Amino acid sequence: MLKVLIAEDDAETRDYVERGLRELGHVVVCAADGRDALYLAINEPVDAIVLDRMMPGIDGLTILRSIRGVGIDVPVLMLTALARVEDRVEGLEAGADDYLVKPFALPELTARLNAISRRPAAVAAETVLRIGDVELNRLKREARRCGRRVDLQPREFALLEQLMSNAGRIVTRTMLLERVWDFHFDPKTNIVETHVSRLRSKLNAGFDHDPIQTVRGSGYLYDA
Amino acid sequence: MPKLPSSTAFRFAAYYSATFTLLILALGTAMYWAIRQELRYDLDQRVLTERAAVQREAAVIGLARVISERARHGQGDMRYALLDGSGKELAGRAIVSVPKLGWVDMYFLKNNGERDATRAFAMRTTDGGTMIVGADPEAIEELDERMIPMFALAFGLIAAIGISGAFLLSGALGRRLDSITRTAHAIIDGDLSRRVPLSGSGDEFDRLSATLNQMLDRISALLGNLRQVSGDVAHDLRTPITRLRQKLDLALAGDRSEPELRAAMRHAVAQTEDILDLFGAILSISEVEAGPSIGTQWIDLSALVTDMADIYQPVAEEDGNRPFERDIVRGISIKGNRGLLAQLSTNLLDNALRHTPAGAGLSIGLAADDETATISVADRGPGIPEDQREQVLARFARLERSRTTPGHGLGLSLVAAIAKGHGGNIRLVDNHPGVKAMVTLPRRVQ
Repeated sequence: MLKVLIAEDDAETRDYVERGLRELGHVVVCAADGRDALYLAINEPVDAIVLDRMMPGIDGLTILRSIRGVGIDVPVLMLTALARVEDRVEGLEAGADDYLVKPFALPELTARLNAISRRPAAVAAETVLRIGDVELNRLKREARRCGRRVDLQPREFALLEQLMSNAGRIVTRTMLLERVWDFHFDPKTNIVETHVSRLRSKLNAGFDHDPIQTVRGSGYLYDA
Repeated sequence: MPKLPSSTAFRFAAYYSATFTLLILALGTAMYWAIRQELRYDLDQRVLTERAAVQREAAVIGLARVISERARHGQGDMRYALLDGSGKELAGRAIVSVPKLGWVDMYFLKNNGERDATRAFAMRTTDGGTMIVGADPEAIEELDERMIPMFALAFGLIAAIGISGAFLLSGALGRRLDSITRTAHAIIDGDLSRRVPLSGSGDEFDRLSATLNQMLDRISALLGNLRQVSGDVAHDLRTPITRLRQKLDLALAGDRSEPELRAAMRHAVAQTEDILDLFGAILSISEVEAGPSIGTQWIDLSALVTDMADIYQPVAEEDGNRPFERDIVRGISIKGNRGLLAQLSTNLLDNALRHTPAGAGLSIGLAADDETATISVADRGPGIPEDQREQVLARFARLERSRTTPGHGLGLSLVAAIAKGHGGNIRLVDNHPGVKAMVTLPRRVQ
């Protein structure tokens, strides 16, 4: 369970996100304009902030810079209607942990929120990532299952790394497109599905258990 | 005609000629004073020489005699007078009043009683009287008479030239600027087709006008694009939104079971997704077409196309085991935007996959010559009839045959927009059988 601050001026979007997060068992605090958002972000201890980029009063980027400026490092997921690369870079540089372009589906938001708010700081830096019988060596770019080497293409390795470092949490198709392929658009063909299926067949050759689960309508989940 | 006092050109010309006139005035005055000083020095020297001569002669024949002789027979422009201690005239010419000693500007009296201005030196005599030796300052008076009117004339002439120049200059500049202003007003009033006329001289006004015209061309191209997009959007969105509404109406009407309602809602959500997708595609195209945001970074195009081939080869193989070929020249770099070029390649590959039957072969290539690099994506599908190839590149274009396949018909428009943004173009050629899309990009950015 997370305590999440939603800073969003559009009432419908706010309700949609609020209801969705409550249904998943999270506690939600809402702010409808920039001033409230800044006040709550500073005074209310939360686990994560969903921050709209454009709000009346104080805009999202300014809020983000302000709270980062006073040393609040709570994970922030920035929402925006601006989809250009420069806008995304600007948001990330201001200190956002992730960036989601409107319109979005709720599973996409919750998956991203989970990914940023529960990321253990240590995992990101570890050279060897070991979950169950699968071992990932980030330095050698090498994967092993039960000690046996799995021969992966660089992209397949990146795919497995994304899934494993978010083990237990859903990783959406869009997240994978962004992080593995650096595609900030949606190809009309199923390249994610194809490459996940290739990864599966290589990883599971000779094993019964498939650690990569498909979550219908959402994405994938690595479960040892 | 612009109001003159507020014209910059007029002010410049006026300041310029005022400065010039003042300089002439200063120069003239300095010259006048220099000449005047010189003349006066000469005059003083003559007076001193004459005084010395008078004194030398006086030692022999007496002062009174010298003075009266010289006054009578001496040089015409020299004047002499000798006074006793009480100021009474002893010899020489009559004077108006007794001067103080040393250098004086004084008056002698003429026979007819007129005053005669004189530059003179007065000194005390041994018996307490006063001796005056003077000279006619005619040269100086003449200088004043001639030079002052001459300078006044020159000064007036220069001032007149300056002022009329200011009027002419501001008039000429004003007329050139007026043509720009008139065009701007016509555009403000809604006539976007107006352009600033050029004089053909190639001067700075012509260059400015040409630049303004280019700007106006760009703006009207963007506006035209915007009009077309909004027209297309209105047209193409009305259909799916109307259909969505009908579906929802139908779901609401009558007594529906929950599974039926759920199915209707799922359908509605999927349809909304499609509409949002269409919006996204339109936005992407407008951004690419409007933006100066095409990156100017060097991109390894060979690596990028190879990457695309690596990404799509498994997809092609999964789809009915399509043969997938690649022919990529190594070491080709261009200046551009990596993300957009990736999207361009993706769209071409997606198109080839979606519009050809499973199992049909695909190929991707990168070729280059000195000037250009060409990305090509070819398929072995049914192809596009020659007379419809142009049409396919237009917005929202979908051939009758592909009405049933998913997609909004904007994929190739985006490719064309990205190619154009990089200074290149797209062509569709026959692949015997199938279609080959060739995107040619310049290797040097102009």
